[in-house]
Amino acid sequence: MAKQYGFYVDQQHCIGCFTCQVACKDKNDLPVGIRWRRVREFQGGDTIIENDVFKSNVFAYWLSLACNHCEIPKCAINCPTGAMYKREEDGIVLVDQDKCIGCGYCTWSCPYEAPQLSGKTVTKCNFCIDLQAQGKNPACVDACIMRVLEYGPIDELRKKYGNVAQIKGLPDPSITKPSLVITPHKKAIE
Amino acid sequence: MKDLPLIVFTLCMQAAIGAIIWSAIVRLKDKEAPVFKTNTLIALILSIVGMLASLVHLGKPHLAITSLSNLFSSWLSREIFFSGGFFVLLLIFWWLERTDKTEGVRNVFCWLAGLAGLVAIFSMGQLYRQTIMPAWQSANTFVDFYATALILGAVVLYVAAGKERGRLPRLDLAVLAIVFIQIAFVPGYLASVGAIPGAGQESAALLAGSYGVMMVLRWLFVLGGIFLFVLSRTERFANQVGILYTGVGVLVVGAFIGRFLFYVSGIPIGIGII
Repeated sequence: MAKQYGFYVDQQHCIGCFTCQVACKDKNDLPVGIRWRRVREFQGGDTIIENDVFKSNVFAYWLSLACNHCEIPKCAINCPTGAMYKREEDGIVLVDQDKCIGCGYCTWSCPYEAPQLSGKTVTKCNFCIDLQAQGKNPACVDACIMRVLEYGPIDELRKKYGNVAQIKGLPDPSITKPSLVITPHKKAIE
Repeated sequence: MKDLPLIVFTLCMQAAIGAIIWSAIVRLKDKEAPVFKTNTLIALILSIVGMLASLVHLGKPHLAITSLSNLFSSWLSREIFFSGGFFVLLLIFWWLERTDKTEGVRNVFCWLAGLAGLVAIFSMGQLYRQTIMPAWQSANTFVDFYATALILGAVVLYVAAGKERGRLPRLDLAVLAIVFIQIAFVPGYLASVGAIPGAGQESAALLAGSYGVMMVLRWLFVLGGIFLFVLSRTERFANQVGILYTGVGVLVVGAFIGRFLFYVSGIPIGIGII
């Protein structure tokens, strides 16, 4: 494989504005309930009494996540028709809508909930390959007002931002080896 | 009940495969028992019903045949391949039996169909084990699928035999033993799934909690059905098929509940559990 493209998320500075999710839905004209990019809120902690003093350790953080175009794409490996495939030149995982028969097995295979049954077939993030072909950025990346989303060859992203692909709340990355780099929120790795 | 087509598909295919396996075994001793033709016909009908049901769950049923395209890596492709292979071999076997072809050829196709069926069940199990549901990844999936095949297969053979079931070996006792083995696996299964943080724990909590009553009902139905099954073999009820059919009905309900629980317990390791 020549290159493997992936996403970078700076979770520390994500404010959970959902603009990336909305931009993705708008650009791809997604129906109600289908979200190729999803912003999720994680929260936890408690308020405790210590020496008659209320102490709070509550926290909340956001994570914007689309398809991670994994190195081991279980969705494509398990797809019975070959509709789900990994592009040789850039490692982007795509669905051939003509071949997909809507069995939904990929939705049972992806731990990131990327493939979603929409009508008779499965759809998922296609990394805005149409925009990329025109030399433009994916819609989510361009829409992010906090500039916390980036994309590019994953080895370059890893060189720049490190190797973190697992935070609290995400599945073990050894399952599919996601092409994802995260600068985690401090509470997401404690 | 979005998984209803899959419940019907897996139960029907497993029942048909089990029926052929049992008939192959019984045939070793009693070569010309009259029950075989009916048994093969019921197995054939069950596999047709199963395959039709599996089409219902597809978005594009007319392209179902393309699911054979990825035999190289997909257990779903392999499941369809071997289920289809079982069906084709069964069809040939059924025709050979109807036309009274030589016994040797018939036996070969009976065993070939049975073997294809066993591999189909293995592929079915692997298919579920390759998902992101800890409750399905367990080896218990194989135990459940093969046990169901043997239990429902025996039921099919007994129903096919009707009043002549006395001529068959004591499959009812064999089934009872299989159910006990299946039940013996349950505590270990629940403990191992429950030990997986997140989705595993949720599945175990579901089976032991909100679906706990259903879980108990499942085994009560299965054991109750087998009890009637055993009773139907006693001299007193030898000539009555009513008790046999009641037993079969109760047993099938138990198997259905069991498969329903299998699907509801499939909770994916997903995002968000911290």
